[in-house]
Amino acid sequence: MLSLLDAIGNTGFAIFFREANTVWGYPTVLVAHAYGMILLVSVSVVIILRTLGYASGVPLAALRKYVPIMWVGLGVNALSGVILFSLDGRTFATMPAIWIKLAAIAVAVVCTRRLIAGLNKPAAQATEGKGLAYTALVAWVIGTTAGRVTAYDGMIQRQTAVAVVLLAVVVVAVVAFGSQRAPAGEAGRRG
Amino acid sequence: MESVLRYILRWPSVERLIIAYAWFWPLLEVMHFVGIVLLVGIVGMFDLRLMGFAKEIPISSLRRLLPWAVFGSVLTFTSGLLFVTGVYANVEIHAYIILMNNTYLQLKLLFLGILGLNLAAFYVTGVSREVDELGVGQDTPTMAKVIGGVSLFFWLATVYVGRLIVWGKFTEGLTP
Repeated sequence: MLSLLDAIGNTGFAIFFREANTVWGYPTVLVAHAYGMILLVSVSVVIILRTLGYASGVPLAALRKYVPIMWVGLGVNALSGVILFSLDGRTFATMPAIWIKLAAIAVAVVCTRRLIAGLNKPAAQATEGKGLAYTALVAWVIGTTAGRVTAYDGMIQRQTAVAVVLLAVVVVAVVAFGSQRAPAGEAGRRG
Repeated sequence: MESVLRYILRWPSVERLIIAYAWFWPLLEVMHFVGIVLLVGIVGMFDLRLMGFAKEIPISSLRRLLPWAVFGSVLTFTSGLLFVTGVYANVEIHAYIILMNNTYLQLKLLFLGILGLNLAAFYVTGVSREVDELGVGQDTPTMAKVIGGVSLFFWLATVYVGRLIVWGKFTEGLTP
């Protein structure tokens, strides 16, 4: 399997994207990967935030209009991701961070799909929606972090993951503290 | 001018953090990416509505999402500032030299300037108040469409040139 990945990495296609001294090779694939991430994750995050009670004035059904944008983002990233993977298949295939990233994306996408399916359902099922929303949100943070650290070696990957968790805990604590102390008007606007 | 820029663009304390802790730079990168998703994604959805997409959503309700875009901008601006002021630790070239020579970084700052002016125009020209009064299904005025279009285009252009900074001049040694 690894030798097959090596063979793919030695095709002219892979060599062009990896080594050609032009912004139209590897850099452009990375730009596409960033665009895909923005399309996919941000629309998903808005659906998550709406499920959690933020911007409740936004009609849920109307958010459906943005859903195709999300799937375009997933498509762009599947394609650009396969290209990026193929350039150095052996390194990536043996790197846990990549598999953690892909698993996190799978979890986030499945949760988001279930949230979308529930967009028109009555508010009685909101509790299940919140669980899905928090799961998807955590999965997106894990996916983004694991994806970014693939550029580093294992030790730095683990240290960065710990740093992200600690920072996230601080941010969540500040947000939770802030919304508890917010006056009724503020909380009402949020909820 | 040069000596002022040279002084304010290099922060030895940030450089020491980057050298002492290998995880500090990648942590900033993760912050930058999470911030981009919140900032560009939510502003982009707002821009699309200004341009006439998803008219079923009242703009005044979409505005409630903007604090999350502000949170995203805090993440990107903080991490971005630390990238610039600490870059010497990674490339051993003064941020001033990179700023004066790296076309991608220069374009990014230019685009951010245009976005700032565009945002000011949104509020100063009264378009912001005008679109707030629009209800479900109502189309936006031409000026709102122009401002939304300019914003969307230049945010995507900012991401594009921003991603390419590591392939510009004097940034060899930075992780792509």
